Amino acid sequence: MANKKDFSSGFFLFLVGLLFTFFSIRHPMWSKSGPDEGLFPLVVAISIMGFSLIVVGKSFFVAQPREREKTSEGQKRKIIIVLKTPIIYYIMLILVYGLLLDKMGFLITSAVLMFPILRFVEKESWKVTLLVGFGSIITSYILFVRFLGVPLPRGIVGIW
Amino acid sequence: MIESLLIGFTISLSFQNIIYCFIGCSLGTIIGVLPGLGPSATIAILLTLTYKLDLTSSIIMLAGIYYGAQYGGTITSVLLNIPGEASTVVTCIDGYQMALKGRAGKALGISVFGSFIAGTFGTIGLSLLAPPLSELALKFGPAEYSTLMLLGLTLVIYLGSGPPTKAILICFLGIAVATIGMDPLTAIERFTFGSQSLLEGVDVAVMIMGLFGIGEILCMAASRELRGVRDVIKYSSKLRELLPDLQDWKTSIMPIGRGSLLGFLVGIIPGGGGVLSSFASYAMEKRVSKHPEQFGKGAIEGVAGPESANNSAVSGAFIPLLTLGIPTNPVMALMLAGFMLHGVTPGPFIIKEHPGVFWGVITSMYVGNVILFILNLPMIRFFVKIVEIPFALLSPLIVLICVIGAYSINNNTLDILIMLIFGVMGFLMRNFSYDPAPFVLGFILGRMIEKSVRQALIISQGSPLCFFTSPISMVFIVTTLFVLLSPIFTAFWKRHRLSMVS
Repeated sequence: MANKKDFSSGFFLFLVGLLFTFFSIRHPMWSKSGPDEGLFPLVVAISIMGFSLIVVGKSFFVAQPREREKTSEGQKRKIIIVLKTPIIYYIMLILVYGLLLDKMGFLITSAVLMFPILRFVEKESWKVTLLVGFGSIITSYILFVRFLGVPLPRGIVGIW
Repeated sequence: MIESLLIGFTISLSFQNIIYCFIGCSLGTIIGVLPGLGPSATIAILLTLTYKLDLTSSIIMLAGIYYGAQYGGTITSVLLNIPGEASTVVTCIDGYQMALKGRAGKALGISVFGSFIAGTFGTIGLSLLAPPLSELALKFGPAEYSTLMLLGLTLVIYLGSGPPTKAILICFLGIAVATIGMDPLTAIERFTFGSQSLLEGVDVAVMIMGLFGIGEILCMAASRELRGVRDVIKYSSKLRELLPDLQDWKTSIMPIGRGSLLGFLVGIIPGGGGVLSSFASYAMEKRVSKHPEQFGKGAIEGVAGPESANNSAVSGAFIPLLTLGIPTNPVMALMLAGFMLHGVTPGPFIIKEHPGVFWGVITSMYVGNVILFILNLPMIRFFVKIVEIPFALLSPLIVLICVIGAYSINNNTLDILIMLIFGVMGFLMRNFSYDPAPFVLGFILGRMIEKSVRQALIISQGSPLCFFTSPISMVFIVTTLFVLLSPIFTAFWKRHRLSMVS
């Protein structure tokens, strides 16, 4: 039985290498003066593919860690646990922050990020959520906007 | 040189720089106390805050974070058996055992003294060695730089944690990401897919903030174990009880001396740094000890040696950065980013072009060591309280600083999304057992290697012989080959010895 983590990561990185190779060969490789802009990325991409194949190959010889040997039911449960973990919420909220910041402005977007994390992901009480949420937003506003002069977006509402 | 040091001291002892050094040392110690969040993540998060400071002040603050973290990591290693830093993992072995025997104060005390002595030793070594090395670096051309960086990457892979194949693979991935943006010689777009924001390439600070800052938060969010608070061993915070007695000094003075020297030398090597130096020091102390059986049961030498080594390594790691412009570990890569943010590239010319920065940073380490010494002895009790800050309150704050920091670099929301991608990558790397350090160094050195290799080939009109005709680059090539082939030789030698025995 192959080491699934090594196999899947190696295979994924092989595809990444393949993609880099595809885009590298569109650039010129060599000119009269010497190497051109496509050669270095191509060598790197081929190296990624080569070493990822070694990782995939080695995954068949490296024993699967005991803790990972689970039944299909156990694996299914593990996926559900992973989806329930705060990671997904963190990723989604940062993504939303990146998409909304320009339109909604710093203060509103920061509130959209901080309050759900504190209240629903980290399960803090409303009192702590409001205290820490407002405290950190105001502190970072003073630090970045007032003290460091960072031009954070005001958004369509027109406030920071 | 004394004159230069005096100029440096006038800069580092200015009120403003003492304050920044103090902030850096305090932040570093606090971060070192917090398990999980390392100096790389902290420096990455705070890198954008140093934008408005002048270069010397910002590097002084960042350096303060680095060596403060080495001090802080010890506290949790000794009291909680949780290493605050990777470089203090080895301190847990005997430090925690000492704590269980009611000698926590002694363990912390000797580590503070050892760190102070080693830090001062390392800084003196840096002051003495950096100027002659930068003179030597002037003889380096593109071919010499290319082979040196190749050696650096090889050592990082060889000395890093995890299997070398994975380290090489992830290092190449870092180099591949570094090729995104304008070509360094012809300025032609590569892999930008028409995005104007990617023309300058992926920003180092954004990448590191994602990989270490957001990546660490995601890992900590996934790990329920780190979210709880553990019991703290009770100990006296009276200063007298923290001070090692005469017997402790007798036992520790030689380990401190050996650790200081070993740490400094290991720190200079690319891929070395605090982790390797502390483990090497522990192994050495156990080997030279008259009572090796006491190691692992609370031997004070097992704390004094590694603690000195990891602090001395910090100063050693600055030598290749300041003289050659080559970072030897992720923290040094961030320091390089800090220099670059202010438009200064460290290297052989930094002493001549920016003497104030060079000597100011070096002398600030003396100041930083004194600050840390004063800070750590009486305030250990306060720092221990920091461990009790719940992750639930800390993580949203770190995320907020990261997103604002990423945005403020180019005032572009795309950088937040790029940081998120690297954050997920960092999380996956840790979960799939890939060390992120080779990725970062591959990314940082990738651009430099490509530029140097192509410049060397253009100068030699396409002939690769240019790498073999220079004696300096030949030394680097031979060393690289030796490092690469050494596992094969070792395996062969072991097999040969086994067959001889049988």
